[in-house]
Amino acid sequence: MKRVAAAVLLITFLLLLLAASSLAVERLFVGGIEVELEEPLEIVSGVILVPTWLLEKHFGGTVQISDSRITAAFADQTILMRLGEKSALVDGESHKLDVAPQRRGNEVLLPLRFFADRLGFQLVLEEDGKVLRLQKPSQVRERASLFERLRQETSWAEEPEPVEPVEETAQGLSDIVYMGGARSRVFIDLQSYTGYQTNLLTDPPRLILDLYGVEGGPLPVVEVDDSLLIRIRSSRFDEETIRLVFDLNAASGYKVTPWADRGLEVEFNHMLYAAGLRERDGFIELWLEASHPPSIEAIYLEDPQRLVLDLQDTTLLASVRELPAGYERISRLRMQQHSPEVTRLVLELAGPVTMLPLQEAGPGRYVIPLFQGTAQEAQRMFDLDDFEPVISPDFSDDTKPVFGPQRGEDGEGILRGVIVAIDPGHGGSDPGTIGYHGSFEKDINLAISFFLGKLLKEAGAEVVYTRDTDVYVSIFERPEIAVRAGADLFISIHANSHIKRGTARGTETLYRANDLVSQRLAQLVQAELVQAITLVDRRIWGRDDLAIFNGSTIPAVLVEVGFLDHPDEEVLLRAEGFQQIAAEGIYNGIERFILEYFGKGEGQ
Amino acid sequence: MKWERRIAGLLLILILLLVGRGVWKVYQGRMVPVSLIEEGAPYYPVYFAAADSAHLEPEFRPGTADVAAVLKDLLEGPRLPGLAPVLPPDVSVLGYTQRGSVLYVSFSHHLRSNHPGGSRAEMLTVYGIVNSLTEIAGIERVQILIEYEQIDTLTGHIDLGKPLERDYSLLGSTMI
Ligand SMILES: [Zn+2]
Repeated sequence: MKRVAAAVLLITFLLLLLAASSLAVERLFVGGIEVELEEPLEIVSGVILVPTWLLEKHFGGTVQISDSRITAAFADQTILMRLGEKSALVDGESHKLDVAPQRRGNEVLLPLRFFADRLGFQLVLEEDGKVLRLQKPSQVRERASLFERLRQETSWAEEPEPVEPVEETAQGLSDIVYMGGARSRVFIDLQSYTGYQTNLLTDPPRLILDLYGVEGGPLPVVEVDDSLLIRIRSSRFDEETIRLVFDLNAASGYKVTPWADRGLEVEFNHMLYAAGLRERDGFIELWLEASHPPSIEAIYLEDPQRLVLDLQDTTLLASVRELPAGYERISRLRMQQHSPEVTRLVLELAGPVTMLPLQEAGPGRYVIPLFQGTAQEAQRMFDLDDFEPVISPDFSDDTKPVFGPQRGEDGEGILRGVIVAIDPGHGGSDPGTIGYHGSFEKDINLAISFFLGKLLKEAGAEVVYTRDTDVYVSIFERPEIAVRAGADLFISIHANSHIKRGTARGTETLYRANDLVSQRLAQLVQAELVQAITLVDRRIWGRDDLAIFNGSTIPAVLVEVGFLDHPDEEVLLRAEGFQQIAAEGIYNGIERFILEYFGKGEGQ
Repeated sequence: MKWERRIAGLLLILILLLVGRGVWKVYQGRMVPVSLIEEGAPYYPVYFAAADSAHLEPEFRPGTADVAAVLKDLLEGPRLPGLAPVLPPDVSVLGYTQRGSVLYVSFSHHLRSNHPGGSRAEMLTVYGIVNSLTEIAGIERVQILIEYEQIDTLTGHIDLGKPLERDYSLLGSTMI
């Protein structure tokens, strides 16, 4: 009896060994893209088991394991399992498993088919189970999978090597091109997409770029390894979304620019590693260590007197952010990340200081000489013919800063003394609504805002923009910017969309509800705008739920110039001439309001 | 078969004509069609985007409103011609919970990622949800969550960081 038992045991053991050695998936393709496997995937009782990282990396889930409890969260469902238990709980409903989740060393293995079924993937085993393909059989991908089948039939016979996956994804993400340059430019070639969203994460530093409405599979990893960008990975996040991950050496600011016909361009900021002050040859020098010669915009501000240098497209990486300086006229240097794209250096002054042009002082090192005196004094002292100070306060006639914001000094303007905050809606990672032909609301808003700002400045008003580049500013920050600037009016510029795209037309203006002043401003702006652009008058609407209205008590309106999702109105909204006329209409409304409400501008 | 189909077609046209002519009811001071409701039976409104491309308009469903039913109706979309759904495609409801008179509803990320944007579309989506759910006895305010998280805003206009009350200004209608 003992012998028989031993023999049975041995045979079982051998069979198991045989099963274990022969049944394993050696190559895995998800949506046509090969997934790198460190070890073959195990097959137990005919069920393929996968490690948790695979679900996280290639199916966009997050898997958490505590004790024996496994929680796998995906975009639209959460799946609960227990180690050693043949059942799963999905959204409160119990399902039977053929094989229980199990441990292998440090890994936990989960039954692949159950997840594939839940996430809508088909499993196709080829080559005696050595090759596994996971595919989504949705209608839009019908063509792709047919193409895939044809490709397999023709190319597998000739060459066993997998074919470049690029052709197969021609419907969606076609290419990721690293273009290099000082700002690590990357071009994302997309056939079509409906939107995108970015998220900069710090630990480890990486930029997430989610592309919406993109079909097809992800692309292989693009290894870059320049001073900032390490690599670019792509994966399918859900049925509509491809997720790109830019692995970075530092959490740098970035800029995403949509190209007119297709695709997106991603650029990263320059980096400022360190800055400080030192004395040399009678000058104080502001020295900078940066990845690239910085482009600087400088202004003087008063009360207290300070010189502000804005380094464009620059991320601040310096660990020391504040340096006391014991110079006669420079008492302190402060540094801050002023916006995602601007690093701001502030020199606190105790008298006039003249800034001279930036010089290169070695690789990655730059200096800006600062003369402790006015430009005239500097010129006299150095006897320079072609001396051109970059910036210097003009202290000769009065103490007013000449490089401050425009204050309508011509004195003629009808709106002199009025401060208008212009709020171009959306921006940066938030494109706003997408037009019928694909234009972005944020771009149109900004264009109209600039035309409006120009008209207001010409009339002597002071203009403050909540954003003047393609940058994300939250809806809570926007009214704060207006309050800080002491604005008298808040004008938000938007373009509209209807829930059933392309079915609505016309102009409407929203205003702060239960605020008669805002209501009157809305009436006048709406009336003048409709008269100017002659779109359908959709009237004015009081709203008590808009963050940009609730963040201040400044008379505030939000102008929806037209419907960008309507093909005809999109054509208009994109046209510069129309943008100019719309700005004139809005301007006329503002002018009427100021004259009516404040009697007149201070200039009259 | 052909004759039966024709008769069915004629009947359908007759019904549509009747609907079009209006089986009307007075609801919140306005005349609205109640084609789907038996006289005297209970019914509740679900709000969808009206044909005037500005307002919400109720469609009446037989029965008594509860959260699950109303959310299902919203996901399903309108049955009457001329109305449009307020939810973008592929949205699902992940869950909901009520605290006092506030209902918290979590939608899948599609509520944002598939939303067309624009303040008018955002208003219709947000108050299509809020106005429909606040018709249920005991619910006064609704907070919209995405993937179980509180959000600042759906598409950049309305502050969704707090529960919202029903919006009457969007109920004005061209139906009268
Ligand atoms: Zn907008």
